[in-house]
Amino acid sequence: MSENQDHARRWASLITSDTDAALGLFADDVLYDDRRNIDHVFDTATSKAELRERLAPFANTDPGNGLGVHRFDVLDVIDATGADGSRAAAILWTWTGEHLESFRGVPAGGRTLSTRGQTWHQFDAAGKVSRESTFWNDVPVFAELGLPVVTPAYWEAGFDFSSLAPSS
Amino acid sequence: MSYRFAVLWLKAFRDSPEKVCDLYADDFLFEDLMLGQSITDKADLGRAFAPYANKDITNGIGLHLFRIDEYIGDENRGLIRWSWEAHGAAAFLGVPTNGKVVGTSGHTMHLYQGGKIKRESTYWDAASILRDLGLPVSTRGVTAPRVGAAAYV
Repeated sequence: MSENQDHARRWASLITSDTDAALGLFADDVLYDDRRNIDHVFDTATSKAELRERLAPFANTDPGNGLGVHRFDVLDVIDATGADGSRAAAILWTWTGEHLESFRGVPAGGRTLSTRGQTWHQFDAAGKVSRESTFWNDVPVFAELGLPVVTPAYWEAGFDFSSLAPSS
Repeated sequence: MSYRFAVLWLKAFRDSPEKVCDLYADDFLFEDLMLGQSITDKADLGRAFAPYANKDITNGIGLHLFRIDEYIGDENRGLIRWSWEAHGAAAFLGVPTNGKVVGTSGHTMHLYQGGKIKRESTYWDAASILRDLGLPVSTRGVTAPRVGAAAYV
């Protein structure tokens, strides 16, 4: 197993089991983005304390408090290159959440949800994650929860673009 | 490759599907799973990029403006962090825009071979778009509490 694959497995395991240990994977001067940056004050975590707020819910073990019980499974690890040639890795994963009261604010009713995402990690000289960039594929989850979202296969031959226009 | 290559990649979106396809190796894997796309065929790839070359703001497809926020990598592999806006799109993910400009940010992992894109994997923030379009979605994380009808956060 490569160093990046080993890291990915540890990260996926620790993030849902031991927040302190998961935080130990990160550098003190971390830069952590897991969404669109509209306002860095909230959208970018720049300290372990801010990162703890992001990670801690994923280690919840109480199925009754609405935060859900989470699991990340690593699908693939792509060796990458960070700034100035530093080590980096892209981790493609599947997330599963059980017992969630809500998903991104949408009522989930405790059902089990699953989707995929992509996390990029850059490492410092000590092997700590100095930077993370993560995005989730929320769309199928939103659709499962009843939001009126669709992903039309518009690239398939013969697709009618006029069908994308909302009906009046 | 480079920040410059990433800019050329995005400029090709606006130019034509053919120009974008030229940037990909003959044997490639393109994945934007958020749009349901896992593509290995150049004809499919061209159709996937076709909307981005639209130049008619009145037809509902929208004018698609991209910018590279960052390129992190080397000549063989890179992470591209980008932002996008659509002006004049009638709907996004099936949700009517009602004339709003929609936009978000995302990142794309590229692996290159022989100066071409060999593998691409893209993810982006859909929640912020849907929130902007009025759906009761929070941008405050997966476990964010239920969003009230009157105040989307």
